Amino acid sequence: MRCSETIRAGSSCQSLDGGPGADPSGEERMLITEHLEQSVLVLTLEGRLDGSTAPAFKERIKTLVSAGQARLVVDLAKLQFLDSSGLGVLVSALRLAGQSNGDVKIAKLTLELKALFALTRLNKVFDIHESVESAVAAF
Amino acid sequence: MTPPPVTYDAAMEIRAQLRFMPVLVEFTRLFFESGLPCPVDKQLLYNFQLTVSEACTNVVRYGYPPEHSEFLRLELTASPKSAVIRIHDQGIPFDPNTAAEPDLDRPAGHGLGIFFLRRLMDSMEYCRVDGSNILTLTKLLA
Repeated sequence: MRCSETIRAGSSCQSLDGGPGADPSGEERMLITEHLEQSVLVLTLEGRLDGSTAPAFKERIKTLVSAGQARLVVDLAKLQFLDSSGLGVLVSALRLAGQSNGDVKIAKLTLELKALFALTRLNKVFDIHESVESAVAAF
Repeated sequence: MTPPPVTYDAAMEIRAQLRFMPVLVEFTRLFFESGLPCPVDKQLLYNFQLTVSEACTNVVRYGYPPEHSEFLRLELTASPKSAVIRIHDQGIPFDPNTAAEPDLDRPAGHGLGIFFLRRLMDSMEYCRVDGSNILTLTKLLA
């Protein structure tokens, strides 16, 4: 079964840092597209996962896990930028899912992000796959 | 006579708010992509962007009280020998050299920002001058 949903974070109508006003870039800073594959939810991230968008991603994970969806794959192939705030929220997601007997698997890291995961040893913490299909099949 | 080494620089001042971090990171990418006298690989370019993001996010999060953010100034310098990232702010005095190393075997989900500054750059110097924090991060290129 496949169904999909798109969530935008940091758009001109939504402020993530608590302050009023529009995003100066005029564009969404992060886009989450979701689809279900064999009871595993695949979240495809586009744009930036940093201090300005991490809170929205964390809230989405909380909502999903609370609703009983704790088997998650995060596809990072289209993510342009990830910093320590983004890594932190992925670790939080892993913990949240784990508390509900689920898991967060990572798919399709770019070369730059592979280096980041290796430097922080998060490549030992996350189950990382070259493809979404492989990550889904690993559940 | 040997000509002096070519050095390029650029600076940006912007209000210290999380929403403006993408502007600083993109400014950094564009500058080092075109400002360095030698071709720069994608990983190094990413590391410069990450360094700016981490250092400036720290200023936003811990340097100023919420709702009272002031401006921060980002200065970038590129020469054949080094790339320098310098950040000025008027926030609470803080030397990132004094921060503890994170325990990578027990990831806490936070505390990696200064770790990146230390690992990705060759030196990190902090000073407080006339009420301003000045953080200078240098990457040697030759």
